[in-house]
Amino acid sequence: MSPDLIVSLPQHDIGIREVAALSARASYVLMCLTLCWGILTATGWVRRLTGHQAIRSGHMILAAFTLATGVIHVVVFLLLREQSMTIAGIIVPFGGKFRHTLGILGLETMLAITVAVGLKRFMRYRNWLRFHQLAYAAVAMIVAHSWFGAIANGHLSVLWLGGITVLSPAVTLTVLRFLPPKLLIRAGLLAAAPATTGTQMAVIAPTTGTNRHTPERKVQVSVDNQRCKRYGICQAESPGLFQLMEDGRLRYVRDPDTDSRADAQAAARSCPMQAIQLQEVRTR
Amino acid sequence: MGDKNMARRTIRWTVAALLVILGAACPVAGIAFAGQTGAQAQAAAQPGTLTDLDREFLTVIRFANLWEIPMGDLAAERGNSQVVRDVGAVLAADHTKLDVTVKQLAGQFDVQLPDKPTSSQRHWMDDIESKTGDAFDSTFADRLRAAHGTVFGLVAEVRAGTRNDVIRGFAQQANDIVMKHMTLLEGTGHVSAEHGMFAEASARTADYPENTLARGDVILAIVVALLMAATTIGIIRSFSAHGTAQR
Repeated sequence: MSPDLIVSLPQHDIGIREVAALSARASYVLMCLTLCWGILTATGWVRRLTGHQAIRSGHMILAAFTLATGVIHVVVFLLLREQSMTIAGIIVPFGGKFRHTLGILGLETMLAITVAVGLKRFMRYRNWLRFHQLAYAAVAMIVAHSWFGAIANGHLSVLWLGGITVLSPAVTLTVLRFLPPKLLIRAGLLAAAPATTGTQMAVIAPTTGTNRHTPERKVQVSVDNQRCKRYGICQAESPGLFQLMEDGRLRYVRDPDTDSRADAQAAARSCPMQAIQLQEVRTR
Repeated sequence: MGDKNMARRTIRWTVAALLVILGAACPVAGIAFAGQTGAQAQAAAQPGTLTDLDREFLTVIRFANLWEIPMGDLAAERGNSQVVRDVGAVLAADHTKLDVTVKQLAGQFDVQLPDKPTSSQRHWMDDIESKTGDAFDSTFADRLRAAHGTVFGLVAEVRAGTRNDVIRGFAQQANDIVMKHMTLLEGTGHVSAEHGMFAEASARTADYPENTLARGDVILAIVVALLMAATTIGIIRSFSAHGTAQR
């Protein structure tokens, strides 16, 4: 606590601000760990250590605590006697300073993502996954918000080392997540696998564009990578659309042309995990 | 073959243990940082020595003197009304007296006192100095009343709770003076009920002293960041579903 803050506020507010700072720090640490666990869930990188189920539950528990502490951080600003915020001030992102905008947007995105987890069965898996991946942006916003907040409260030199320590693994994992797996294999980080493990999915571009202009009903393919167990039956059924890669990922054609429509349906029917979803789309 | 497997298992378990320790240590470290202030306050000292609150009290009184003496003098000279000029003179005189005592107590109890006002106090001083006429009077009264209001709570807390007889005597004196000043400032008729009671907390900038990082801090952070990144990569290498360490 800097002497500057002490001379500027009633004692009650100093206590409230300490709660705000404590919950912010807890939330920051938990958020970085949530991101790490999330990436490990999606990639299966440390599966041999704890198993997929444990990593997934860890991700969910950490996420719940991140949100709980984050919401406390926001709500205590209503309790300040001087310079307190209104309900609109803590909900509407564009009322206050830039760092408040970042914080509110980040937390609200995370809340929306949590709600979407509960609504997963009503969404196409692919869309759900894209929405879930907004968390990367939300985390980036909250990290920026946290550092600006630390500076505004004169806490940078106190929090500097701890903040960097927890941020570093999260950044490392995020970078690895977005690097092509081929590079990781070449770097010796992952080994080329027998086609039974690994979890990442990728989409191959449509092979031909010949039928693009014919007005017909097409199907769109989407594979739930939490269901998919890499049995490879879809590849046996329609090798033109589904392909298990050497690094363990399943690649598939997202928009098969009308000629391949029957193949896609056969693959979806044959999948023992029912992980392949097909959706009819009307093309103009 | 067996030996190799054993060695790998040992490495794997070492990394696992590291992971668990890091996972547990990070939140604890964060909370420990935040809890530091509380823990120090808890360590209530025996009579004869100073607690953290006592030290804070001396520091805060010194900070108040550092800006209120020049502002009192300024008001005595530039005040628009006679009341404000009188109040300014009284404030400067009282704080000069307090300053003598606080310096003597700091020497007695070995407390390091500041010698420059805080950044927000400098901001308030600039604000008052930039005004003239009636605006000068109201800015002066408002700002000083607000500052006294925030100090009053701390002074009262120390007066009520300190276990040190010398500090208690000084806190009583300070309490009387702060109370008197609040009454005088309100008596000028320039204190607004809306913002004249407590000073606002202003945001710090990146060049604020507590935000400045020594070169050692930066280097240490880079080393720690690299170490953590290497650990993360090591964990993935050892435990990925088909990591290289398996074969």
